[in-house]
Amino acid sequence: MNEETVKLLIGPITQAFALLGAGICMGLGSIGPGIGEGFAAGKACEAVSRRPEEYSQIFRTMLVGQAVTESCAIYALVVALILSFH
Amino acid sequence: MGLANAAALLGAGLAMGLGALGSGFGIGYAAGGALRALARQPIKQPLIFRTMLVGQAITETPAIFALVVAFLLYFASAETLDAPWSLAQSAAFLGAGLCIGVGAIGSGIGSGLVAHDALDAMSGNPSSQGPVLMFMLIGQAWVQTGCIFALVISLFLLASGNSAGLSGPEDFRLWSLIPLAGPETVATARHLAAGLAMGFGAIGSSLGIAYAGGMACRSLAAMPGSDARIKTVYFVGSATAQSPSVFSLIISLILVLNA
Repeated sequence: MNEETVKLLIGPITQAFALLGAGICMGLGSIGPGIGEGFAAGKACEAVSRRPEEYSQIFRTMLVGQAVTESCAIYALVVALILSFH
Repeated sequence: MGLANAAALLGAGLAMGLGALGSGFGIGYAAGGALRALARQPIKQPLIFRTMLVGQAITETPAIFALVVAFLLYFASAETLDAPWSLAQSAAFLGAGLCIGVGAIGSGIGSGLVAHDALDAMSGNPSSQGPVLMFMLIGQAWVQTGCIFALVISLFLLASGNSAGLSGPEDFRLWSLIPLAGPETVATARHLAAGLAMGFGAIGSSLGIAYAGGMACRSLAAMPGSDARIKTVYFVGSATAQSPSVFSLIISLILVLNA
């Protein structure tokens, strides 16, 4: 078989596995950040009810913590986008 | 009997079986919260009972979405009795079932968590019942977004399965299960991947938003004076926790609309 035939045969299979990988990557990759960010939000609510006067500092810390947690989901998104346009 | 027919029946079973898992847990957990609240405040029985029923009714919705998709898949299986052996069509039906089935787990458990925490908070501080009830309803509605995304993708996949396909061998041949080349393989992968991405992607965000909602109810009951600040933290925090499921929705839409 010459190179063209091999590419014709293998190409769709490679693309199919890349697409499956994209789906699994984004699906599993968003479980952790979702739970983690919600946990941060819940604990921030608790903290505000304990110390309402420290509200602005709690709010800022929650947002920074969630932004860092978000980076995991963004990694998954970037990899999934690369794979789905493979 | 064809492959798409079998896949639609399998998808219907998976949708309802997995879809009932989360709601079943959540409804029972809400009832547990109501029992705890009753033990603390027996005099508030009508309020606790009513709140429990409202919370359980909302917790039921993911299972109802799964039931709807299971029925649609069942009807689709009747229409594809004599369809050709299309892998892409079969993957669309299987993906639709998996998507709503797995996607309903997080929302079902999460709604129950919110209802449980709200009942617990109400019984701890009966004077805050009004705001806590409102927070519970907002939180439960917000938790549903994950399974609504999954429902949307399931319906896209069902439409794709009902329109696409119809290419493939007329009867069973071994090689029809392993198509080595061609657009059929790619479309198969797209359908399955879209279902998996949105199904699993809905779990985490729903559970996270549910935890935030439950803690917001508890915080409100503990400190009723600072409800505006708690509301801001809760809304902004939940909106951020929503973003991973929105990413999943984007990837699923890219996958399913290019199929």
